Amino acid sequence: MSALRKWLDIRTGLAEPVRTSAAGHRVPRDLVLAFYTLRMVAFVAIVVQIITGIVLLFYYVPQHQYAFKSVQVIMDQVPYGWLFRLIHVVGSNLLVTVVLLHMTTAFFLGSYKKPHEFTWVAGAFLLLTVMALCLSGYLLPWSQLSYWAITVLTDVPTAFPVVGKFITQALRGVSGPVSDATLRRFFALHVGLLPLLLILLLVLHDGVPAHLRYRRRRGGEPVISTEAVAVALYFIAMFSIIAFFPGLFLPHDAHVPADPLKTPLHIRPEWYFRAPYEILKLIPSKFLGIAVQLVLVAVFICWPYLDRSRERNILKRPLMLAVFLATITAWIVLTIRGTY
Amino acid sequence: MSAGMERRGFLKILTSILGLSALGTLAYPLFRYIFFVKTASTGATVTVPVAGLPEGSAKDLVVGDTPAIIIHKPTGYIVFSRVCTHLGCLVNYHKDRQLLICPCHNGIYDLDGNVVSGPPPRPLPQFPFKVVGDKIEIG
Amino acid sequence: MRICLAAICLMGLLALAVGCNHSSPNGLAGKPRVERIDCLICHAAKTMKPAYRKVVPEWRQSVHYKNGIACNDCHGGDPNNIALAMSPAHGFVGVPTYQGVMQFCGKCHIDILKSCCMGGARHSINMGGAPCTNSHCVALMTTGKGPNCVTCHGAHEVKKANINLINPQLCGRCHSYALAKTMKAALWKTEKKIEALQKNLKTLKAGLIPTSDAEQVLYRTKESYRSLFHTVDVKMVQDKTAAYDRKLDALQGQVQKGFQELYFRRNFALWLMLIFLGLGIAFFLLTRKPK
Repeated sequence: MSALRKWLDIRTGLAEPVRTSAAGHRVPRDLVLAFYTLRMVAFVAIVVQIITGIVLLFYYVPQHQYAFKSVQVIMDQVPYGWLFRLIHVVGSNLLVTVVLLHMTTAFFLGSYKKPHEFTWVAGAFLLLTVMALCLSGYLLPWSQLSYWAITVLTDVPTAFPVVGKFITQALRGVSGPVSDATLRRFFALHVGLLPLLLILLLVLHDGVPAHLRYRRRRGGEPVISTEAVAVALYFIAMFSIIAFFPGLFLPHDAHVPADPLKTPLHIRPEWYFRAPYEILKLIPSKFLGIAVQLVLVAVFICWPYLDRSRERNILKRPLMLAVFLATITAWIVLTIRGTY
Repeated sequence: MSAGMERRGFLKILTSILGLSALGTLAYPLFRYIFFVKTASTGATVTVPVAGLPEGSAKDLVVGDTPAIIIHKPTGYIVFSRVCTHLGCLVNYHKDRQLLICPCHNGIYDLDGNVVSGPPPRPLPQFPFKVVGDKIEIG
Repeated sequence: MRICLAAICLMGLLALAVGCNHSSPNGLAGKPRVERIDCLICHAAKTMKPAYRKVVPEWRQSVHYKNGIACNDCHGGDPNNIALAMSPAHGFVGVPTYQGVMQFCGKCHIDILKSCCMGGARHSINMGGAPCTNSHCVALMTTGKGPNCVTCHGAHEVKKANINLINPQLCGRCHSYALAKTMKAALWKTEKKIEALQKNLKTLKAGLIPTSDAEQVLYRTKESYRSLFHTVDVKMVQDKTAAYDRKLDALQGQVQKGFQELYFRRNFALWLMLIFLGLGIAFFLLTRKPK
């Protein structure tokens, strides 16, 4: 075994970087390891999504007459097609959960402060890219759920006075309702552009500021063992859901082919979009609702440049703590309201 | 010290076995998934003699697993699935009204399979057929 | 900076307060189509006569409402124009007579009507068609006092039918329950099979096993069997039950295969879960920092 390793190392020079980032990756003892491991879990979740996505591409057909049927074929006829599709569906929800937790803990711990502002900004764009991937992927099964959720969401930009209609047209690929052109466009985004953007942003998020990472070789806690537990928990959650609640993220309308002439009783976006959607419903003017959201997103992206205080411990900053708790509570309340 | 080394050795072997099992349990489905070839539905064709189907008449049959019906319209033959697209009851041919009517909720289809009235959401699916000599081959 | 933070904090609390109190959304999620009929403008109004107002909440509990069937689908009229909602020229037929209820419901439930009227032809009130052999129908048409559809199923609060509609309270109203009891006994086993199949298919559907073909076969078998019951002919039911039982048993065979697939998938995912659990623990023990 070690002879093989030596053979590889002479030719690739990878032994040292692997050792540094694996067993050699140690962090200060006062770091909250549970939060720190979310980085690795998020990375593993992305890799799982990419692999299962490519696997699904073998049988999925991105045309409106065949899309729904091809997904049915994957689920019912292709051996273990159900496994890969369910890993992809459950995995996407787990990915969003992990990314949101990672973002929340990074905020809480003040990880965005100097000199890590750039990491936060790249991370903000990563979150937006993950959301865009979720949105574009949602349409691909071409079910009633897909069709009408995307109809509602692509209708949102029309609130803008001049450019709104063009944005909606650009998203849908046609000037009318969601159609085959939208499906092809979303497929190109989901399978081509957005994954490349994701990888680029990952490099900017973690690779470029690599010199700022923890690099203690002696002393400190090794991260790899706790990371292994965290990744194992991720897979345990995924396979428990697949074993006992396979239909958790696939409600009734997900099994009905899209019918542009029949609006379902209740159209609701997926859980991670419910809070922004509730804000839209609560604010009387549609334009104001979207404007508020855009302002919030801009604040979110530029946060490290707005909060210049050097104090990293949020418990010593009561006002910041209050803002943090109020935002989390508001998000949870709005998400629950959007569900019932 | 040596107990620790033994335990470490055991853990290494255990981890390797579990790791290989995990890889194998994921590789086998991937292998089956990729190497799956969909068999074209050979499905025994159903044959109906032309003589047994004068104009205006119809015959019930089963194509694959689906109850179906062949009708000799004034303009030619046509083969439909009899399964109503509403909830799955079997439609009946009414020669006098030249319509197909579902007995469960009065869904009415014309002889092209299109919905005339009632709750059915879609037209009746048709089956391909060809007339070979004095026989009609369906499926 | 502090003012900025305080402002954001206030916004968050405001969002909370609004979120908790605000009850009706801004119309982006509209009412279901079956609620957007003009009939409700009068019939749901507080000034409407109680007897006509109560039909609305009754209808909202019914299986018809759940399937998008509104007032005009039975009573006629134009549901989108209040001036024409009760116009005979637009098909409004009003409330059916007691004896006319069967034809009224039979506009859609044609197979049930056919079973009630054994000759297959619709009768005028004077029985001008083929002679009727259905005892309930004979009683209804000759004396005006027999049961009609509403007697057992209700008018607006129609729920999904089940075998317990045959009970002493309903059937014992006109004659001894013994007759109905014999019929219930003849139906019992098959109805229980249907119930069990419905439950099994629901479980399979929740487990994402394909069930739509089996659901359709069960539906049409069930409808055909229920239609048979409406002849009120115990002997006919007893003679034909075996054929239905055979169909249901074949379906149960398919359902069993479905369960095999469901359990296989569950066990496979469970196995993967256990492997990763073991791997996580083993790797943790292997790589943790020795004390």
